[in-house]
Amino acid sequence: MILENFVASFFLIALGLYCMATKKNLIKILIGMGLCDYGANLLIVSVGFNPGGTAPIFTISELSRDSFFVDPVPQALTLTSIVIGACTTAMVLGLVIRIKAKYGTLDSTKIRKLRG
Amino acid sequence: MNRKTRIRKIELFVSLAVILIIGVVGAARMAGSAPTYDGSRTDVVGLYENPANYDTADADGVSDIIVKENNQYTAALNTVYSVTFNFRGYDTLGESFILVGAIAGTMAILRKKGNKASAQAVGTDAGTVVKPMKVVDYRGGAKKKGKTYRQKPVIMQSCANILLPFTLVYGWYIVLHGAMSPGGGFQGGVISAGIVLLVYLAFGLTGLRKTFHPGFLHSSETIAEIFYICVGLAGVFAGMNFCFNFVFINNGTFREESAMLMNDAVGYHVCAGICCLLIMMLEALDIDMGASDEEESGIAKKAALSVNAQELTYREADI
Repeated sequence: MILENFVASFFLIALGLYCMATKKNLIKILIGMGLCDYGANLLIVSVGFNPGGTAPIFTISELSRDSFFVDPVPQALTLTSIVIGACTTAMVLGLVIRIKAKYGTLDSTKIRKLRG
Repeated sequence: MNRKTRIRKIELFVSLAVILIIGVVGAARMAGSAPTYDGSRTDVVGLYENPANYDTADADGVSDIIVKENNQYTAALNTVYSVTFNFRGYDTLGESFILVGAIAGTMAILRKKGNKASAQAVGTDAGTVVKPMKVVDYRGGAKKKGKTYRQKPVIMQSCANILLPFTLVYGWYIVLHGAMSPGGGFQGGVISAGIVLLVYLAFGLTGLRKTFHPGFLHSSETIAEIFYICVGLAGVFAGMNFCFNFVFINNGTFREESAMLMNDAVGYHVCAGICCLLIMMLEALDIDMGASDEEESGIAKKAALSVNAQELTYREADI
């Protein structure tokens, strides 16, 4: 189960890089950025996973003597990373809306050209 | 396709394949290696019952120290929460500043240019700006009596009226119980910010402008940030470190600490920030899906008047 998580995270990152490198549409580039973000999050969470472990919360009624925790630090890092990733994605979407209003197109090759 | 672009494409695919192969090989090695934190030797129940006497001398790694000292130095049961607000309180401050920066940037980008009234509406009186509605015309087919109907999402509106308080209560339950159960400021804030979309789907842009005030939300977000810094500085004035718990009670049944105030500040901060962000995006879309009743009646009258005028002109043309 843990191997699939790692492979899927690297696959997501590679897919996001492919999207960002080849696609001309700004929305598709943004989707590629989002895919990279989610892949990195999945990778960080998977690093802290421990087979058989429970969530790192001292709810003592559900814990027994032989239960143990997974790593809490990567989870705390991912938590803030998700919110900030969502905010930066929203900011880039705002930029895309402005670009569409100004240039009338989402094609990144046409946006580069001078308009006189 | 000429030669240059083909070579570039091959380069791209080769580099992507190299990244993917290295990643998968590294993933296989990482999955085979030992976990970063091996908690199986830690007696969790003994840690909960007697935190002060637990031996932390043979701890391996920072996660082990955090888990073992969680019950001794913090009043939280949720270790992820205590990492975010107790052990890494200073970093969380910086992360919420990133949030402020991203939202301020979005507001600056999406502010309407040239139109000063709407630019001020972001800050001062967003509730009063009402744009003329689009009237959805269902005069299709053979019927040409001149009747216009307005699309109104009745099911959405009644569902939203029922669900709105529950959504807010659930979101703030997640925020306020972050120390004791899964959750915390970041998650609960995002959940309670979902009400913006609910209001938009049910009552449209007009209802959104009447309900929320993006300028107030943005400034109160800054106030929440200042509150966070004040709670952190109170630890300094109490003679301890920044973000130290100046209130700390943990006697088994009753648990209280000052980092919970920081959690609440971050919860409000995220809630207001995401609300503000969603409102800005929806204002930029500028599509009104529903409308309130008062405007509808006015528009219906106007539409009827215009239809009458049209019919009159047609008749004149016929004559």
